[in-house]
Amino acid sequence: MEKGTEYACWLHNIPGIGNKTIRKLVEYAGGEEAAYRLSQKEAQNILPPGKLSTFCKWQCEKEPAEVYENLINRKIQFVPWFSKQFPEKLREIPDSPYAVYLRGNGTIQGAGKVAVIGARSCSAYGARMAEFIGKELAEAGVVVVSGLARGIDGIGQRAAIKAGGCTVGVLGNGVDVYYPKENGRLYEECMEQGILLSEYAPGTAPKTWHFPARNRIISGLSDLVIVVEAREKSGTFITVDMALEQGREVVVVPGRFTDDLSRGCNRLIGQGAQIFTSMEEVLQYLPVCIKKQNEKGTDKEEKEENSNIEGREELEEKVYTLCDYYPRSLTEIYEELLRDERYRHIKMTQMLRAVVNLQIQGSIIEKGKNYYYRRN
Amino acid sequence: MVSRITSGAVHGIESFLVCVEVDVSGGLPGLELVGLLSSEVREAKERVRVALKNAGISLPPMRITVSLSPADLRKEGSAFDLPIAAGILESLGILKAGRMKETVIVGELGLDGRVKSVRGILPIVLEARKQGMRECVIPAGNEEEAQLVDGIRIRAVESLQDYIQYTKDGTFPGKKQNREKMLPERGEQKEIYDFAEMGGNARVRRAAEIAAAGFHHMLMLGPPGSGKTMAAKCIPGILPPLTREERLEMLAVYSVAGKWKEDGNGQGRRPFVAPHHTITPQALSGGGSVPRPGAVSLAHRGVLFLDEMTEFKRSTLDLLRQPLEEKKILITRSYGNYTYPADFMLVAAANPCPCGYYPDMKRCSCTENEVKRYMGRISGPVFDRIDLCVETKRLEYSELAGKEKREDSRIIRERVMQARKLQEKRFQGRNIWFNAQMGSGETEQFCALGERERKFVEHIFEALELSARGYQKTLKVARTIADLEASERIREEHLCEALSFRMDMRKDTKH
Repeated sequence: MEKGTEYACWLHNIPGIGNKTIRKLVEYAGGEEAAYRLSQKEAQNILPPGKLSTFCKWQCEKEPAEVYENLINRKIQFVPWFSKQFPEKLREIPDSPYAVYLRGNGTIQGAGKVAVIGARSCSAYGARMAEFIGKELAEAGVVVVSGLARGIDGIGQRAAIKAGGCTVGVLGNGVDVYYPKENGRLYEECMEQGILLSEYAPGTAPKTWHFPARNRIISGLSDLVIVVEAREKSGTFITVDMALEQGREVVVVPGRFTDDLSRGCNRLIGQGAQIFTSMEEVLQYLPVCIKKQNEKGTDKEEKEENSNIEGREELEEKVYTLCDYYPRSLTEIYEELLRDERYRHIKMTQMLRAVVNLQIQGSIIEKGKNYYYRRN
Repeated sequence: MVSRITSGAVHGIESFLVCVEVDVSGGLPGLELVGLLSSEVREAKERVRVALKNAGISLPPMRITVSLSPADLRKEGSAFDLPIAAGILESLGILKAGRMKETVIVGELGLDGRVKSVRGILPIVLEARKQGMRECVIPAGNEEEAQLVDGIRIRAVESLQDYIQYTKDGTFPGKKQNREKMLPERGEQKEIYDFAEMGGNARVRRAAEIAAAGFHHMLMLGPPGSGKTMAAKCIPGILPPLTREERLEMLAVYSVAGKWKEDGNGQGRRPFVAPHHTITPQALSGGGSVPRPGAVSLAHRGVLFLDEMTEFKRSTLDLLRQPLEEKKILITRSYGNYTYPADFMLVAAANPCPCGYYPDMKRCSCTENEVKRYMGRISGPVFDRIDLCVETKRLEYSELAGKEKREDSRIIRERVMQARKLQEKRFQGRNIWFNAQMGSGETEQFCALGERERKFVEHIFEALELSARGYQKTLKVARTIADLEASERIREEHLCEALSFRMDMRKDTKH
């Protein structure tokens, strides 16, 4: 433990006192411990009256060692900026956090880190891409960084965990608060193999203004940011802007012109962002590139292709090709089927049978009433 | 002298006969009414006195006592004016007593002696016939309704003077008697809303046909402007015509509700009731201190259409549980219990999400959670009663203006009636009529599958994670589809089609 960590922890846990104020205090007092020992009179020069009273109260009530130990007991690690454990990359960014809290079994030292971000309400295509990228990154030994949010963030991280990789969930609340609640499982899984990271003291509830600030850490931690899906106006752009400000490379997954959810991505590409074309290319941006699974990957692809063909009848195959990665309605599929010379006389019931069979095989999935999309 | 006149009153959908006794005697002059009367009956006093005066009969300065019995049943409505006046006339000796022994008299009086129409004539006339009465004297405005009942003489009077003359010599002044019975059988009349006029959406049409054939409740899901409302309006047109018994049941409800004229339901078309989603629970179930039939009862033997089902208040929708289960609704008030029939086909329409475009992510701006919550507004038990669910699609211009020939409702109705006949035969001697009403025992018996189909279903059951209830519903719908093709066995294709109409939108939103 570096000298002053306990005091830094004590300072950082004072409610209502943030990054900038702490820095000012420490600078004025000339060290963390000195800041703790500041008299009310001295502190007055730095703190406005409201904060001063909380500061003094905190001085009376809490002992630094007690605050620090309390965290240790709860298996939460406090890492101030001067610690060796503090992520190097994060220290470089403008408005770098004074300290971060870590919770989980993983480690964030060493390996290359990639942020996978995108829309919360994503399309089936986006979900699939996030899953693919998360898995591939994990298999290449790269740490996936994201916000554990709904949609792309969560899907990417879940895929990474599933593939046995490490992932960092950067939060806009204390590391012991689960938000959104339905991702509780994901939090647990993330702690198993990865790490939860937050600049907010444990117990802090999520607030809207925490999230843009959280985004600067996501991009700050990472070597590279991959944007999977974003609308024209999207919170994702906050992260992208931060990334550019911090000098991180941005790689964007392209989409179709007509897809609303890819409009933001395509605009970024227009502005000069890198296009996501293959995983290999992405990995080249990373400082230490570990390519261990190349042979394995091709193996798998072949296998998948095989499973696609096996056991499907001609009509099923045709219906499958008419399905896409975004949900299409039954009527739409049927009408397109009829346009094909060979299937002009197919009845709806015949096609329904093919659809049911495809569902049983797990090749297509129903989303919404009678809307189907491809699984792989 | 005491005179006795028989009249009738309604209690819920039922009616009972009321004996009106009038006595004229010496004492302080006045008109006294007794017999657990509501205020509108008590006000009859003034109406009767003035109407008699304007008919040229002034009451002598004597004490007139009118008693309505049975005295322990509460009497409501304005139908007692005419019988009270008739009783007074008899006890005064102006009309001959005893002539009206087997006659039921109902009607409201205007101050000038005119007889106005009243609510609930049909049940009263039916009850009169049941009790062995020979004749009914009713207001002229209710004649059409009363004529529906066979085996009892109907005398429609326009004014008190008419009545007096009729009792004296059996004639009506200046009015033709016993007009031809107006009971236009529902033959080749044109539907106002016809499936032929609905563009595209073949799936919806098919779903409506199946629903109509098996009396399944159905739900349409789709974006705004995709023809959900139009399709619903077309459904009464493909339902089989009302049988005579059904018509009487339905018309009795309308008679009690006092909606006879408004709905023009003398035509024998199945009712189509489409309450707005802001409807109060009382208006849906039947309300008022003396409840009148609500929307569920007005839709009896017809279609209850709930547009924007997710916008209805949850508590309002939950009221549907009893009628969906028991085909009737029980309303309890301080004066007693009222039961109204409520056997309807539920047709519901809803957007799949708040903005209406899910799962079209190009347009939909809702989060997954919003979508889940939106469907969650409909309570499970109501959801469970719905057998069929179909998606609707926004129409292309070419479909709207398309020249392709489309079946009109009449042809579809033919098929529906064929399927219904099969069901009638199948369920003979049981207390059910349609596939939708089958319990689990009947489902097992009548939806037996062949070896091949059973294997197929087993497969599906696992792959699609069907619930036991979902499985039963699928079987019932498949039974109806097979019936439409007059197929004894349920084949794989029937099952496939039934599966495509299944309801399970609760768990499908995850990726």
